[in-house]
Amino acid sequence: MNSQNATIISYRRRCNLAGQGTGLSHYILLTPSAEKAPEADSK
Amino acid sequence: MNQTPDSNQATFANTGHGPNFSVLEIGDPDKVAVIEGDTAYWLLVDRRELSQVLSGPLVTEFMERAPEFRLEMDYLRGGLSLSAAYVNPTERCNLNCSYCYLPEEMRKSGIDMGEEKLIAALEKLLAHFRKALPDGVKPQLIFHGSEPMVAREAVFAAIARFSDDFRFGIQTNATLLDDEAIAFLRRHRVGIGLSLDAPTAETANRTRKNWQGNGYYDQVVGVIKKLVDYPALNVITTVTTANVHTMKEMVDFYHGLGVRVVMFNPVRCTREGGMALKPDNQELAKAFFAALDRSYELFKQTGKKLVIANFANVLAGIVGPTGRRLMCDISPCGGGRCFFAIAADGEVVPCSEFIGMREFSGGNIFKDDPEDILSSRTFKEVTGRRVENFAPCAGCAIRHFCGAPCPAEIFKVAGEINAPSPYCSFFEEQVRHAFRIIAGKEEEDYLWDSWQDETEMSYCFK
Repeated sequence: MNSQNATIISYRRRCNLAGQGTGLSHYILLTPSAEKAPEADSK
Repeated sequence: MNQTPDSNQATFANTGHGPNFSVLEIGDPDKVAVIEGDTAYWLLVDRRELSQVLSGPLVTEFMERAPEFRLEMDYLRGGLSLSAAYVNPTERCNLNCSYCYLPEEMRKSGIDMGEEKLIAALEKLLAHFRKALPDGVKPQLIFHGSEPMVAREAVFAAIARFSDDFRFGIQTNATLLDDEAIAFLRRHRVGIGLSLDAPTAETANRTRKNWQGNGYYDQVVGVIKKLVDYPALNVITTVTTANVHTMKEMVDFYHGLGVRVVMFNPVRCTREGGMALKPDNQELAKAFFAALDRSYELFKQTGKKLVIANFANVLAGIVGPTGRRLMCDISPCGGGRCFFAIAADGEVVPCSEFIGMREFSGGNIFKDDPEDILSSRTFKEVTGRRVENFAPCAGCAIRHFCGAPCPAEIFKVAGEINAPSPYCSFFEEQVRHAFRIIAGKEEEDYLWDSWQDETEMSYCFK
């Protein structure tokens, strides 16, 4: 298999947050990080 | 899949018990993609060495991991619970955009839900989410339109009352966002989606205008400037024949303003107005990739990233299927299973795109149990829409990177939901482009910043 390494790219990542704010439609992207957004209402 | 003694010993793709590997030309000088459609497994291989992935250890390795990939896809396509609701607190809108997917009469002189009923709807939703979602998972509630800020008092009362219970968002045309409203939304950490269609007033005001025909470009840009430092801001540009030629300039414009996330959503053909403004797929692809290239260039020059979220979602669907944020590009789509939409009269449809299409109502939030709505015949029709059940998607290698969106739009165009997207060839091009980016190992430059934290490597060919 090692001889194939240089020419093949294949990988897959798994989401740790599946189902927790990851299931929306194409309008607005609510991000989990928004929960941690600093309060900045004076600006 | 039935297992026989031979099943685990397959060493060739495309024969016997071996996997069905499709070869996809991606337009890269060196590499082609090889895809197993059911599991959304992919690899990129030097085109001169294609034969080495069609037999031997790689096929064996795939066969060993396939059950795990299949389970993951089953979970994504059928195992997620409802975790978001879109609520239209009013039918009315102060604008009359040329391509709006909502009926004109409704937007012009429709009803409001009113504060009391809105609170009652959210109470009912919350009770459902508390039963259905695991502890610690906060449901999402997005005020949507028509223009939700027309019902500002009711919306803000609901946000203040339920701020600990929901993660709120609002999709607004920004014309009614004054300083007081902005301060309130920031204070409650409400996600804000704004709409703008072009970098100049002349083009932007052509499609986004009020009932008297006047545009609001200056005002919207003013609001974006006030919110660029806000992490939960994103901007939507609806791409039509009127602005498709400005996409690259839009990237410069947004990047210059400091915007971090934008969606370039091709106009939905759900209504005649939208259908009349649909750009040609190839022209759209060309302009879209020019915009992507420009965002990449600006990122390399400045270190500041402008994520084009609808493309990032396609890319995410390839490199980490469960890492998608948006559930339009998978079948069944998220409508009616991950989220649903509540119209101002309480009717519940699978997605905002279905508002005004009463044949897709699953019930009324003021009369029916959300559980019953989710299992209604109409919802089952949408949640049962699977690409493997209709042509040409059933045999398409990229069927789980595209999902053939969107059923509401397709229903209007084709008279049924089990048909391909009017944007089919645009999706094909997007997936090819995504693979070219992966071949160049540049995908991180196009994905949102928290991608690495939200996901972990589950498979890597070595």
